[in-house]
Amino acid sequence: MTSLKMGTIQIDSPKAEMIISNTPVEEIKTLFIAFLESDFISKTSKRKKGKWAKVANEIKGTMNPSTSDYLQECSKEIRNGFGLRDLSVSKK
Amino acid sequence: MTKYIFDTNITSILGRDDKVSNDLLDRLSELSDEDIISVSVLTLYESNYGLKNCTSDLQKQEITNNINFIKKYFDVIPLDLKEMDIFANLKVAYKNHTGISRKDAKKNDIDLLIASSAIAENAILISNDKIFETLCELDVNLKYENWLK
Repeated sequence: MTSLKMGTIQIDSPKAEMIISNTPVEEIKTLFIAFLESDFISKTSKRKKGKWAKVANEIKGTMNPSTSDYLQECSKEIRNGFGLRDLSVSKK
Repeated sequence: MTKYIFDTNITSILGRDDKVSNDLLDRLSELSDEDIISVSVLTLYESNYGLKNCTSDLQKQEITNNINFIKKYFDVIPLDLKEMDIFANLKVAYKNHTGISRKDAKKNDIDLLIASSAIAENAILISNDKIFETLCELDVNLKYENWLK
């Protein structure tokens, strides 16, 4: 079995083409999955440092469950009571 | 860039520290910086009613913080003339589809107004209310996701 040494090569270079053409399919699959994983981790890491991650961190833990439940009840109270009187003429 | 509208049943649990809210905050954290989060002005009406109605100082403080947080980071969408036709068509379609009485139909008016805002703004409505699943069937322009599932 051929073992690949870790290193950095440009993906569209002739050297990369030569390595790929001489590498067993299973190893290419392994490398490709490793690439996808590292790419995912990199993007996730960036997201966790983004604007909305900071916003989420700021609001987290600022409200007791009882207050949250109370606010939802207030919302339901308004939604159940809200509405214009229906004065349309019904068909006879 | 994607625009979202958070319903009141979402904004009211953002501040909790349990699994439900943590899952919600994880979804929020994954958004890109360009994405926009908004609420209907009706959500602020509801929260402000909760503020004026409560007697506990601690709850008053927590709700005040919640309202200030929303106003600081989220866009607030007012009711607008551009939603007038959307609301009317949606309400008629919903009444005809469900066959509910006029009395019961009144209970859904705020849901219908918020759905109309989401359609007019081309935003994704984030809520935990099953009525929006039905409304999606009645208007293909309504985009709805439940981040609490």
